[in-house]
Amino acid sequence: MTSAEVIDQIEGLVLCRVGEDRLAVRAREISSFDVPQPGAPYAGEGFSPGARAPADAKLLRHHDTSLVVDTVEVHAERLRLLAVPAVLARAWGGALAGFVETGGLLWPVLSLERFHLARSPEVSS
Amino acid sequence: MLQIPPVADVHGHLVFACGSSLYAVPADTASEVVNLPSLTRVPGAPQHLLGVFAHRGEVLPVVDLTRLTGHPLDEAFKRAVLVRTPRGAVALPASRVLGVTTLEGSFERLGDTGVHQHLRGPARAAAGEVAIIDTQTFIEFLSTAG
Repeated sequence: MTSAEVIDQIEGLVLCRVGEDRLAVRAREISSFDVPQPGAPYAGEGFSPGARAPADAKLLRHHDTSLVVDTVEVHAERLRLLAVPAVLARAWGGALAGFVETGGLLWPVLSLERFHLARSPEVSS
Repeated sequence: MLQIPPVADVHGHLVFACGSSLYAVPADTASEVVNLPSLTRVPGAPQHLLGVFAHRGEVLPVVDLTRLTGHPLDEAFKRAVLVRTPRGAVALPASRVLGVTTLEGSFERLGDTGVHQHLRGPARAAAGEVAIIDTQTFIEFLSTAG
């Protein structure tokens, strides 16, 4: 396998449902799953401003960053990571790492690390 | 006042309707016309970006011209024109695709702000007045538009 092919692949994802939408996060970026805490950002707001998390939502934690989603499902299979189109490079503060296709659906892959930087201007500047 | 003479189109343009407006893109940047599948919404994307879909191993963003021009429609578009430039590719939803034709008329900018900086015209096609999309700068604009 060439190095280019390795870069193209992604393994170990957490597939998250958010209302009628969805996103994926690299499993290695999640240090723990928790119960949502007040003030934690809800991923649904990225799709529909003002969206509220359901009562049984889950919190993904990565060091100082957290993100609330509706449901989580671990996906271990290796998948091809599709590139972010140029016009989306700045979406969500540049936190999109790519897209994967699984189960006949396309999933945006979010980098929690970049998401943290985008939400913390003092860190990224 | 300086009169700008009508300009004849040397290269062909693909003309399509989006709602009640007609648009054209240089034929050499229109790679194909596709049936739109259901779209995947992208978190944090601007409102004019309806979503994305996978096409031959590539993720393509779908850009709603009616929202960009300030005249949003609730129309569920079934087809889109794929526009490809060295800066990237986008799918532009189309109510109808009228085909490739040569255009006449003005090729001047239609405005100084927003997306109108990247529209030229008014040009004329058999079906009516057409706004020509300057595809190179249009995709650059989309890449920086919030």
